[in-house]
Amino acid sequence: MKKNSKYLIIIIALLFLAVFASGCWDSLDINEKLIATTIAFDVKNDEIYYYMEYPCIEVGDEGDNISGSDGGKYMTIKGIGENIPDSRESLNKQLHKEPYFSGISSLILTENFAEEYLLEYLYRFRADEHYRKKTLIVTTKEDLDELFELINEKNDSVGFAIDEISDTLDDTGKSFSRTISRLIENLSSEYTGILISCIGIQDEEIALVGYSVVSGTKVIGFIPVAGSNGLVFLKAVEPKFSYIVPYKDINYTFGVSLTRKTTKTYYEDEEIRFDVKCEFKAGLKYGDKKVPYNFDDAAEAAVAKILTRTIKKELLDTINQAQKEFKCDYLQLDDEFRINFPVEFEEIDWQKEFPKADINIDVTFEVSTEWMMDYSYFETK
Amino acid sequence: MKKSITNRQIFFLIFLALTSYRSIDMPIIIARSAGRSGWIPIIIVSLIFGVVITIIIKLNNMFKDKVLFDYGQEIVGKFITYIIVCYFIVYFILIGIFLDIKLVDVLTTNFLPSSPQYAILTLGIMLFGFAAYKGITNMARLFEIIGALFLLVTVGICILMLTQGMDYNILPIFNVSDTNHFLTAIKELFIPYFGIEILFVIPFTTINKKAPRVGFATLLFIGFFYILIVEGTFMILGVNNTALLNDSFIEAIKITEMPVIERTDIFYLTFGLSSLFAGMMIVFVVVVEFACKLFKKVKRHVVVIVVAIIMYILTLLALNIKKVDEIFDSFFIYLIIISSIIIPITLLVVAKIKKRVLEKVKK
Repeated sequence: MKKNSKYLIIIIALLFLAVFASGCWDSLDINEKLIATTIAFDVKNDEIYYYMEYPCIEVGDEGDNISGSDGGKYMTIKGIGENIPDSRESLNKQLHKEPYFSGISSLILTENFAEEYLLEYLYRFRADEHYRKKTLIVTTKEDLDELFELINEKNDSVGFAIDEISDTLDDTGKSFSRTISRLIENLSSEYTGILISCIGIQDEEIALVGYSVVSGTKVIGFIPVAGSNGLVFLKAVEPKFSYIVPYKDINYTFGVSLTRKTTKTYYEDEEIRFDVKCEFKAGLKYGDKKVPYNFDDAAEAAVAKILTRTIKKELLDTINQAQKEFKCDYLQLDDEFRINFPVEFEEIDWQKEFPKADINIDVTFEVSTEWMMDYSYFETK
Repeated sequence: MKKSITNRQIFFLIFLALTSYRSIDMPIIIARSAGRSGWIPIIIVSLIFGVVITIIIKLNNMFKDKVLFDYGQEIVGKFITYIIVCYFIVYFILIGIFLDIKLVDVLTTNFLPSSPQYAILTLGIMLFGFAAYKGITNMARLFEIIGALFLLVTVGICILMLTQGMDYNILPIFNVSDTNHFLTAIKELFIPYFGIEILFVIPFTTINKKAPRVGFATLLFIGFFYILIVEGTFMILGVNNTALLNDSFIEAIKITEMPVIERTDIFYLTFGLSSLFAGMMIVFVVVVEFACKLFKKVKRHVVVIVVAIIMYILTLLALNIKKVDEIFDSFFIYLIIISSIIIPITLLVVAKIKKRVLEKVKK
């Protein structure tokens, strides 16, 4: 009898646990939620446009303000309001299911929106526990209706496309992306200077077109992706680019990568100085003439000199642009100074000090032929 | 069956009792008080409580096979012992309510937003009650497994955080201007160290000779464990985000990428919640142990049911109080000072004096 009652208790406990373990009151079929993949914002005629892209899991996922092809994989819906909460309310009124925001892959802000509402929206984002803080943030100059329509018609998600492009560029050392978490941290600090990737449409595809400069709480400028190698060398993890170096009638193509970057910070007589040392590696990939190239030590030294000059100029131009054009430290030298002089950093106004700081660049190159290719001396048969 | 636990079990009991909820809360406390230099106050408080735990263990070791209720009567008499035990019952019930609130809060905020609080609480209290009924020795065995898994997973995730985070978020590791906030940080850090008084219900035997050293080392280890959690969270989120986000440690885990596992937060909380449940179980068992000593004629399962009902009602009431956290924080520090510092030191001093007097009388 005692044994039986023990089993009964175990069975009741298991049944009880089964009810709770199934998610209690939160148990919900995935089809009953509208899973947002992208959210985007724009401002037009003093009205805020709140876009939400979601995958069409079921037949009949449609609303009034929808872009995307009939029966397409992704749909976009938009709400319009005088402020952010109003636009969200407007969006909610069109939703036929409860939205789920924990799965969004990208947040897109038009430059117009970011200029005015960047801080407000990001604080709203931070306050909502449902959003993933590692969501990617990008800006755009494109019209969002056109952007969503173009990509959704191809049965693609704008958010996923941006996420994948950013991952690829980050992994190959061609760019650097920023998550919302990092942006909010920067916005919450005493000094704010940061870059956000800006996407656009190129040949009917999404592409990185540049970087939006955020200073204080607003977007203040734009750096086009063309000619931004210096910026990527200073910001990205393991940056890599190809450079063509003309030497003795041959155009050599080199793979150039930054191997080490060290920054020394000095603060003497209220003068701030940074000595940035960049060590590069350049590997000869190929030339535009028939081998042999006779690429000897002298050639290596000459090419190293050309590359040093070229890249040093790119880096100095990047620093000048930050100090003179934008007067914004998106190069994160504020962190370098804060780490080395924490007490002094609290006492100075970095916004005023950064443009005056003396920043020296030292570039060194190690040139070699890449992999097993030997372009030095050998006899052709 | 003789009630005794090994030194390893002591390590896991203290570790789980202390780190149960506060491992989630610790980065916020440090970010809001001492910032990047927060590791220093953590070490200072660990050393303070390391000394305190050594005192409690020494006291227990002076009276082998006895617990506070038994040896207290020999040291300060029956009346004062009853007052001390009643005080500890109230103290641990308050800790229990605090941990219950935190458990419900973590679950509803991060995982079960639509589930009513009373449902989560019902399940929790039933589980804690069952564990309390089984007693401290059975629990100690279970905690060896839970504690080892929790430790392994948390340290593993923190190491991933350190490798994936930004080092400038934790640098400089010492800032002179942060020292102004050290006193506030130390005061705030007293609360995460509540719970070492659980040792008052554990009878020590001859196998616990090295327990004082184990206890001190455990507290130092907990200090380093907290530092690892704080620095990992700072590296991923930054100090400002850590200070401003709720459950920032879990937010940092969500951002951390793990091979194969997509939802790192769910993976962590499988083990993290087991630690929170373990912390609650310890508190529950301590209340039951004290109550059983106080009401010897009442059967253990009756005591368990009564304690469960009291905890359940009080927690439900506390859940409806606004800013309950602030209320707890405002008086907990005083209770901790009384429980962890004043009572053990007084008992040890009186016991030592009595022992010397008795030795002199014998001579």
